Amino acid sequence: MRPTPATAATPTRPAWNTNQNLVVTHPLLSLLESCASFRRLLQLHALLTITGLAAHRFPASRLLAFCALSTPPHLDHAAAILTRAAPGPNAYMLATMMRGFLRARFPCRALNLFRRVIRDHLPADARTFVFALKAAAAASVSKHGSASGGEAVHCASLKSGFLGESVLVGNALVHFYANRKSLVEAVKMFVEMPERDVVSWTTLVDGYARAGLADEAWRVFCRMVVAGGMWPNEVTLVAAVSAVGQMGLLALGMMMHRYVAEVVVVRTVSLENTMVDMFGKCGCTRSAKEVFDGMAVKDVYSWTSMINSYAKCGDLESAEQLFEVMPMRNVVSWSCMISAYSQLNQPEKAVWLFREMIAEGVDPIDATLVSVLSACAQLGCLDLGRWVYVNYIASNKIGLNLNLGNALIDMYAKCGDIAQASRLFGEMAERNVVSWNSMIMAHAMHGQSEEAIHLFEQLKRVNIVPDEITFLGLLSSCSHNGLVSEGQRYFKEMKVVYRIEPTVEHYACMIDLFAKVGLLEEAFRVATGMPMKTDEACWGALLNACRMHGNVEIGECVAEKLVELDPSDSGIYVLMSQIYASKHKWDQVKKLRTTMRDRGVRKNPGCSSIEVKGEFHDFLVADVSHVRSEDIYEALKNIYFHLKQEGISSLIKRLCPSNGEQHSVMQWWVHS
Amino acid sequence: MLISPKLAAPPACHRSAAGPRCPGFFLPAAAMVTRRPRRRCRLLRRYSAPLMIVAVMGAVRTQNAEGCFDREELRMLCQESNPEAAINLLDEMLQRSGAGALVDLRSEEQVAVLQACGEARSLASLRRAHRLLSRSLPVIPTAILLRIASLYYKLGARSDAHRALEGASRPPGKNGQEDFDAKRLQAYEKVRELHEEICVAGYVPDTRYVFHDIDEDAKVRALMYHSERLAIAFGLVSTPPGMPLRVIKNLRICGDCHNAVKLIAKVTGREIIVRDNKRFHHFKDGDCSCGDYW
Repeated sequence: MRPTPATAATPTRPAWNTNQNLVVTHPLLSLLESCASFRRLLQLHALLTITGLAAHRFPASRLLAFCALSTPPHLDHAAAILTRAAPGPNAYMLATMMRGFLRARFPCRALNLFRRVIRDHLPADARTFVFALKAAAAASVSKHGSASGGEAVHCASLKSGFLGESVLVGNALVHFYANRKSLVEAVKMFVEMPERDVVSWTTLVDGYARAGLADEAWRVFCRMVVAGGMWPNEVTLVAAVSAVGQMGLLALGMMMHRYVAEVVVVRTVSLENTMVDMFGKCGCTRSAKEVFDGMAVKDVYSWTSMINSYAKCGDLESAEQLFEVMPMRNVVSWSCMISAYSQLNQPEKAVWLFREMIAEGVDPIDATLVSVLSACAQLGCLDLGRWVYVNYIASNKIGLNLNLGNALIDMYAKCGDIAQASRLFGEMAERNVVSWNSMIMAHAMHGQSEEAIHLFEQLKRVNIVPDEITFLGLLSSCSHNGLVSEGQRYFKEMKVVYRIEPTVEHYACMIDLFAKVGLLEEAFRVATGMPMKTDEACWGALLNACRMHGNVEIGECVAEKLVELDPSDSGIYVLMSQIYASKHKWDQVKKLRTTMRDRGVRKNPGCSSIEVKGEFHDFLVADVSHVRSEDIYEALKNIYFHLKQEGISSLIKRLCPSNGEQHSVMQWWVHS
Repeated sequence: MLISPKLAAPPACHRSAAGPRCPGFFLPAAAMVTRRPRRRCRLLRRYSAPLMIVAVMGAVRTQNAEGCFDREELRMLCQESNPEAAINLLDEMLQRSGAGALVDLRSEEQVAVLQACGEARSLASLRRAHRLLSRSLPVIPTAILLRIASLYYKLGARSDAHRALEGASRPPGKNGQEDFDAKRLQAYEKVRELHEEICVAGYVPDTRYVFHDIDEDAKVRALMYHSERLAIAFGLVSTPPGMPLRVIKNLRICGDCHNAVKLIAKVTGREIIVRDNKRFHHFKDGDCSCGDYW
């Protein structure tokens, strides 16, 4: 609120009221209120100086407000006005100056001014402390000031008595602590406030929601309505709905939807976007679509939220359709769709869409690159992964943050470049347990058990607590190198020292570890003694080991269990067939093949891919069992070229089976 | 009658006089003709060799100098954002030295030309550069194609951008596809060559991994054409010597292929990295990182 001359004047000077009338009606002041350029302001300032009006606080405060808050700001001129104000700046002027510093992204200067206010006992009001808290938060974020700046402002507000008198200051303090994720302090501040308003409650709900404490956010929201007797506003509802989405409780979501529909007369786009997002997170795309379709105005975030809802439910087709018809896309929209493809086992489409995005001139963000790198890892596409690294990360277009570093390690490892993965791991300034897990797993996949174990010991030395994935990598590395004793030790350490209950994957590693070295009975004992149901991976590892060691008896028993789990898995029949064949039991082999045929089980053909000049080329195993197979293939080749000369290649291409991958026509011809 | 005998005598006397002159006339002429060519030949022999040597050396020097100057000039033209001149120079290089001139061009130089088109905001130049690269390079690298597509979009040619993207996301074109098809056929030949080479190096097919009840020869042939070997053969005929090969297989690599690939890595001097459905195998100098335990 702008202070009136009467408020600014000293009550003991009744004569000032006469000046008030003169000042208010002066044409220069009227012009000042409509001033729109700094040049014009300077002219008015000159005129005000000549007429003596500039010496009065009201005109000076208006001049100051213009200089501090205009775009672009003229802070030096504002500071000069503040300094020359006679008899001195008032609270409004000081607060306005602080606000100007904040808008110009100079939080430290705002804090310095606040310190001067306190030190020199200059006039202050509630807004002074509010802006000071904002400055403290901004300075803390930019690392230009002490993190305890806010605490100092808190202390000053207590001493000055403003904390108890103004709800604005209390709200600002709750917001300050909540933003710092110091929710305990925020709650303490909230509880101590003698008076609270809807902003107070909303700030706390939002703080909990942003901190991922959805349950607490919901609890505070309920207390606000029931115990606090407050009606939530739009901002409160956004925070509460967001919390419901995090909890994934559809029933609560429906209740909120009904409440919003009944109570909220005019719904903002932000609230409706949050509703769409909430329903998506609750797994109810139908309700999300209902809200989405009912929106009179949709922005890019509306579309993106709806796409994300479909993606989270695995409905790629609907997500694609919506993405195609989006009127306008931003980087978040593209990233969301790319992430959906990457996470839903469509890495080829993720890569394709990334290229589309680049062609559209949209620059990716770090989240985009994380998804693209994940797709590259799935595909084994090293060329593109390197391209992403060189063009965006090495060139510092996008900083190497923790998530990107982890994604790069995983990509390089899964694309076969373990050396580069290791180098990147060494260069990362910040690492978390995911980083260590990625590197340990990388070494495990590449059979470097010593390196994996060494990393694990390093992880412990830097006081990072391993999780189940860490031990999965360790056990996998032991399994790949036949380190039985070490594997047993880590399995025990996982349970006893770190209190991590083994998952079925851990048991599968142990079974594989025992089985591959020939301890089939021990492996069988582990498989039959698991606390959870033994899955295909466990039995499959054991069956593979039976094939390695030619154990028919245990193999048959294991194969029966696998068939019970998944009768259509061709691998079971193939492995068992191999076991029989190794013992020259050809009759049994034939019976198995007959069984496969009767059950409609088809063997997965061997398929190998190689990347050459950025292109992937797939090869299927070629049947050359016939004595004249070379002649047959030569004849096929001749037929192919003759047909090609006749111009029916397009027909052949149309007949090519579509399996999501582009195969060479020649390859299809030879392998069909 | 007496007069007649006197008149008959002059014709006979003329012929006799002409006879000895004719041989005498031709002889000097022939001799001169013969001598002159010889002298000329000698002169040529004396001076042609040094001239030819000088000419050859000069040509070599000129060619080397032109190559260096061309690249330097190209760099300067790109820095000056003069894409038309740069593309003209590329075209000239193509005409003079063939496609090899651009194949030798480094990626940074290609990017510099494209960037010059962008900075000059010349869509025509960009299109021309794209055509030039498409015509001269066997395959435009994906990174370059993406750069081209991005520049097309920035210059407002959305359809061109998408066409460039199509080139990046699928086989680059008819010629490229035919080349790849040819390489595929070569891969089958290469597999047989590799089989012979590794047999010389001590490879013995382990037919235990063929679980069909067929004769030994058929088993050997069946092993020879496993998918990973085909992929490796394709990589060998499609990549320059020394480049590591990375193969991804959907199933577990069989024991015989594992042994074979170790020897293939040895006889070809290539590092071969195979990712099967369980782990990675790094084949180098006849050994594998798994230590034959997988």
